[in-house]
Amino acid sequence: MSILIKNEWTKLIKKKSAWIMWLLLVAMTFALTFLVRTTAKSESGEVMMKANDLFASLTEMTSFLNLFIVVVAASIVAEEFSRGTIKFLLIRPFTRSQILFSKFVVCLIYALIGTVILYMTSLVSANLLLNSQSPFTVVKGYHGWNALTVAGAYAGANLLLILLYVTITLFISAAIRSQSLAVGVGLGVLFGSSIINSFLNVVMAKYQWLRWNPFNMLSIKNTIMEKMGSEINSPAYLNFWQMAGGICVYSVLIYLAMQQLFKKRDVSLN
Amino acid sequence: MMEKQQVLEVKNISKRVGKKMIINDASFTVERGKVTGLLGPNGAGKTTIIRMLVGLMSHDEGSIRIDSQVLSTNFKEAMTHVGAIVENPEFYNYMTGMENLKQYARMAPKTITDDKLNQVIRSVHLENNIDQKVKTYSLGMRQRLGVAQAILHQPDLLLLDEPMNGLDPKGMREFREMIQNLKNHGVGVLISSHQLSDMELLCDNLVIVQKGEITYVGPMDNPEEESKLIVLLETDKQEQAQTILLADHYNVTVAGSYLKIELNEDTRTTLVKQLVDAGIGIKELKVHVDSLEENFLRWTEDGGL
Repeated sequence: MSILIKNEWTKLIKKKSAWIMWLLLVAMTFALTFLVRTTAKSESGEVMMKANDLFASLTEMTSFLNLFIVVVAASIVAEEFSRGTIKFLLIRPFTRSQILFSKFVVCLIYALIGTVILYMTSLVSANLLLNSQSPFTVVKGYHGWNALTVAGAYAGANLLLILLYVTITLFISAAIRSQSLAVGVGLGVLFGSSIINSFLNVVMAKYQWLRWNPFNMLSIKNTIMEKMGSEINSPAYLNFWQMAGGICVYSVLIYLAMQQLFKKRDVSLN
Repeated sequence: MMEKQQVLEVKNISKRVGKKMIINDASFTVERGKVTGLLGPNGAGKTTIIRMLVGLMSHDEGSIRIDSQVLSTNFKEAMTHVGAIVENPEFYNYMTGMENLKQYARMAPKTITDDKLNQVIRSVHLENNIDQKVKTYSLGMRQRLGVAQAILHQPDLLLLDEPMNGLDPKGMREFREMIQNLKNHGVGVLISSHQLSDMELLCDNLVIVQKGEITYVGPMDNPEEESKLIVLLETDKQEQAQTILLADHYNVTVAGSYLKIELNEDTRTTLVKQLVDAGIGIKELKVHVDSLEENFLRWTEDGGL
């Protein structure tokens, strides 16, 4: 099994695009921090924003990280089909489930490294370009946590989201074998979920069970901040652990469906 | 004894796509140390058969056994014995030939040492290009890299789908030598092709497939034809000779300047004597060697070649 993961990792990391996406993440974090610096300057030229204000939310760059992960997950299966290399891969003494699992794991490893890169870059860029501040300073509204912990909580919640995005994208990639459709659906879920959710919110008042729909889980990052009473009473409200559990259940279901489909399909390339 | 010789046994396999039967009740075997040719016109189902043999496609009926392991239930065990090229060899073209091979070497059932890897690379004559990216490779070079990934783990059964596409005459000769060498080491080889000329020098046995059905399984030289002797005859009075032979119930046809005569037994002497007695001078009499090409065309007459 570790052999397959090693192989998949080599194939991914030998691609320039894998490195470009990480580099873009670093470059864009610095660029955004710089933009914040210029807009937050007082007339005297003093930077008004404190480092932790931006660092704690990971420079709001998690969406870009997730976008890159969706691209990786979409290509990792579909590209084997478009290149035609899938036939050399599936005729080895490994089951298709093992091969798909190794691709799934590699997506998550790539995401994990990307998350660490984002975390470090946010910390460094905020302290370089804004009013530097100890990362151990407590951030207001977050249960008395310091900035490192709050940023860590966002990174962790985002990794849970990535888990769901990866399974959805891999599902499309493995079942329909179209890279473009996989990217499209992945991004659709990534950016369109708030639209769907606001529509569902209207219905949720009547049908409370709808708050368990997967799109509602995508707002898990909002549950990290301390909540007001009114929010807790909203029909869509689920706490962090309920959402985390929901994401895991949905991911497992999609993963199993994907494995079933991938196992059965005939592989023919013409 | 016979059972042990078979490295691949295909028994009554069928494949339906929708309502269409694309492979119908196909059975054949591949023996150790023998090269079997899978011959048929394009679209006859050769690649579909090979895809089923490596589990890329499922079969609806019948069974496939590789080294006595049933493929559909014992996939991993069966595949440890198989090396294959299916359709065009495709690689990760942003990686070097070596990096590509190492991917497959790692997936092999037993450890492949660097020495072994280099030996395989030399045997396909890629030692000078192995550290270049595959995107710079010619079709012939990719074909040879394809062969390398197939023989890397010393399989008992080698399945090669149109392996000679893109090979120049020198490459063809090297390929034949390599197959001969594998054959001598007891590997059972199945080679598909739509070109008979590719097969004639290589194969011991032949499986002919047409429109998804197997129409011939047997040795390269068709045994049915062996008992028949076909002679070509040229005389100084062809028409007269034909009349005499036809009157004597010989199966005679005109083939260019020759008379083509099918003899059920070797009765050449009687035939010549008969004609000489009738005052006809014999200019030439030769045995017509039925080329495989002609057999193939005849076997596939309704195959829409």
